[in-house]
Amino acid sequence: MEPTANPRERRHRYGMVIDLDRCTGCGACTVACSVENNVPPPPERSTERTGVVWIRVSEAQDPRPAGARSVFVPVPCQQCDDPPCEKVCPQRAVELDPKTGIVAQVAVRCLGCRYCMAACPYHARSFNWFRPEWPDGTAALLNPDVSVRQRGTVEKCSFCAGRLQAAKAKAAAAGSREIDPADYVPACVEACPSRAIVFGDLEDPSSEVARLARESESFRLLPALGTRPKVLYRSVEPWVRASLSQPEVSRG
Amino acid sequence: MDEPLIARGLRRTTLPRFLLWLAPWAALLALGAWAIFLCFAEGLNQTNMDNRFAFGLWIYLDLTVIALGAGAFFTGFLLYVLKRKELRAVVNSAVVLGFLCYSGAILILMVDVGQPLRAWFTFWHPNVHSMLTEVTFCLTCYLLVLAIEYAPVVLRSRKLRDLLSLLVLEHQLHKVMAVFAAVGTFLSFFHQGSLGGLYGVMNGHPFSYRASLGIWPSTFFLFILSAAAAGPSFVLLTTWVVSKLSRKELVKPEVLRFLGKVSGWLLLVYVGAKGVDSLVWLNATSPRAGVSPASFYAYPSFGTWILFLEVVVLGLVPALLLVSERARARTGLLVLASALACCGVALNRFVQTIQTQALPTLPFDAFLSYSPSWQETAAFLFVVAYGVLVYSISFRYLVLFPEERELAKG
Amino acid sequence: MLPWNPDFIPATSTYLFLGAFFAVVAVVATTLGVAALRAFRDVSRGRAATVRWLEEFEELPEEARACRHALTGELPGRICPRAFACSGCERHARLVAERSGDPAAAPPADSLFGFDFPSDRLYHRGHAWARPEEDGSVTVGLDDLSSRIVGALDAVVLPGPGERIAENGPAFRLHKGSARVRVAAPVTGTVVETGGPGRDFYLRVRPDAPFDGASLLSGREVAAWVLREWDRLQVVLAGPRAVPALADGGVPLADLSKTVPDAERDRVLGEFLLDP
Repeated sequence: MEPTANPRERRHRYGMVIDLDRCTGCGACTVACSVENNVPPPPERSTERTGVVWIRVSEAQDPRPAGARSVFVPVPCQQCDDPPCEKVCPQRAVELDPKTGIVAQVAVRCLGCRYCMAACPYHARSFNWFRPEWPDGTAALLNPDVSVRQRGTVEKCSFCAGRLQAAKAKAAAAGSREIDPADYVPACVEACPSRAIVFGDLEDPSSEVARLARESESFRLLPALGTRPKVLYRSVEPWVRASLSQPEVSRG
Repeated sequence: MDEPLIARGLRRTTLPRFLLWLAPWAALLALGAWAIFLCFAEGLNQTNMDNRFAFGLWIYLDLTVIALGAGAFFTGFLLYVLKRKELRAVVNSAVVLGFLCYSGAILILMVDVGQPLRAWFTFWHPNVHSMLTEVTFCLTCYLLVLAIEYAPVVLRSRKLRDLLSLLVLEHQLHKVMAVFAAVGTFLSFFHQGSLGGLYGVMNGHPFSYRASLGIWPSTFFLFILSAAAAGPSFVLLTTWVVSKLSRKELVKPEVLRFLGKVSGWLLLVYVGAKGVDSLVWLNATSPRAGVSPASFYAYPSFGTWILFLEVVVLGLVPALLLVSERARARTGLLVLASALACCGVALNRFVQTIQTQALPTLPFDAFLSYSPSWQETAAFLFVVAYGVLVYSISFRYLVLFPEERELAKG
Repeated sequence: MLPWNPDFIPATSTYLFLGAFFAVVAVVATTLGVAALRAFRDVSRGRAATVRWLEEFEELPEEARACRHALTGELPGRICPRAFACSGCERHARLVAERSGDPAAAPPADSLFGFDFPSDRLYHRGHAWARPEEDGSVTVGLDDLSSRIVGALDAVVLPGPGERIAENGPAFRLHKGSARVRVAAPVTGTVVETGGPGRDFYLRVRPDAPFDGASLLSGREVAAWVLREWDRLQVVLAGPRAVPALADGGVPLADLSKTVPDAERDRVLGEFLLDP
């Protein structure tokens, strides 16, 4: 069913591990992401629920009665291996690339029905409720490697697919089939001042991200739903791990 | 004034009074059209939907009117395939209602999607695993079938029957109507089911996710059953309302009782299946997704009362009333029970659409509420007004109830 | 959607889904095509008027669809299943064969209950008559009972010479006030001459085939039918809204049209002349 990958081409499973103990909730990742991916600035009339955001930083409270602590949780698209959004899209505007594991949103094919948004338990998708506008000449600062999206379409984190393309082009120019991992780092990873996000190929056992993913401090959001995200979180705090890997509704 | 257009032997009010009745609905239609224009011109920021509440009033409306519009396929199926001749008395009205429900739903769906001009992409690049693909294909085909079923009623009107070649086409169409009724039934099964599947497959939302029976989640079958049960009730209810508003006897009382009986037995089967499904969902499916079922009803707006209301008050009660011959014999109870049945299905669609999205999934999510903007409400009323207008005009100029002429003689 | 699309996924699920879709489209298109072809055939064979009559016949109330042998009491209560096309009816053929030589079939009186129903002509159930003339043509007119119900007309719309009329199709149209009714033709043929209310016929028609009037009423059937139509008139007049009833058993009124209120005329004439 899926297109057979060229056997000579190595398969990748790009993923990230976000260290919640390091995250300060500064929001640099969100800003860097928006700049990199031509995410339009929110218009005045928008609310935090109607703007476009590819990586949202939420705050989770310690659910225990005595707990006064909280933790910041950056939530990009979780890049599921079994994405609920992909199977519900009526016109294949969501594609899971078997060669990279990246779930892509094909903006030009999106109908804007928002079924994928309803299906995503991580609320990692945004709809263009407003016409994207770049005021005061900021349009000149748009990233030429990433296309802008239209009003009425859904968008989400692509693991900076534009950067992957650039890395591939660079490798091809050098006569190589494989990219140099150092050439492909998403904007949020690069921008994080506390280096909380580690990105890489989960398929490559020697990569740092694969090593971190195997550690017992790492966990996924809502693992029981069977979506198998490639974005993992880690924390040495047991309460963080316990409370974040359980769905909210389990506590009622 | 317009008497030459009204079928001979039908008594209709005078044209000025008729126009007076249409006027407020036309005003509502105009308001709705303005709201729809705003949504097209300004974008969907005119609504109160957002990234969390991606579906709102409109999707709820679509699901409800399509469930109620099931009366068209079920009446056609009983009449043309199972040869229940007595339903000839209501089939025209049922077809018009079905056509209005489906065309209204598709219309509002086109406002609801962000890029309506890309709707054809679903046909060109279909994802055959998506429930919405099935819905899109079936709705489009079924609207075509409904239009074909509506056409003869229009072509038989007093003025158009003078166009002899069209009347001959009508005659020949009527002869093959059983084929269209059967195709309509096939399509209805799939899209009513797929609308249920829409929510049943969402494994991201344990509240709406259901275990699969074969390749479809259980809601697929529950939606078919509930729509088939509500459809005849809706035909019954509208016939009664039109009869009261026009102060005319439109069908023999036995026809309404038969519709009630069909509705009642189907509803009873549905309530049974829904009960079993709820038990499996609460005791097996949800715990497997790491969710305590009590949490679904832990938020103030949606307590367990909503489940009780849906399954017992608006499910079991009307089902028992409608299967009881003694209750059916009393028109008041018959109409009340069918109204309850329609409300039950509407509540079910509400729960599936709204409660699903209101409940949080992530540990740091909040329970969210949503209330539609005036533009959403006006667009909703646009569909209602469109339905009332087209139905009123059809009722005046077409023969929707063939027995009316005979009954008028008393 | 189509196998040669670059993004077509050749998988079982695709074939099942699109197979079902194309099957539905094919069934709908074929059925529509069959209906359209048949309609085209009907029209090109000139059956349109017959089809129209079949449709109208279905809409008539039961009492207007009684079998001619129900009128005479031979088959009590029988409803005609053939839209008054008696020539292919087996039961009719059998009854006619049994009836031959029956002295009861003697020529009836020309006057029935005060109405003129001359025995030199045959009667259509929609109250047109047909009289075979010596030159092979057939004259067509409106019978006395309906003439008196209609009364003075505002207009009569007659087909011109050379136009064709078909049995059970519209022969001519009557206008009075807001009422517009057609009178069904008792014969198929070409109009050669037009008359009108002032003359003794409305149309002279050259029939396509030698005229036999197999589906028209004649002989003693006429009296039974007129009696029944008289009863039906009371029902039609009574209608949904109470209208002064005709005097029971009295002498027929010279101008029955006065008993038909203006507002009801269209309905009454339509129901009485079998134009639903």
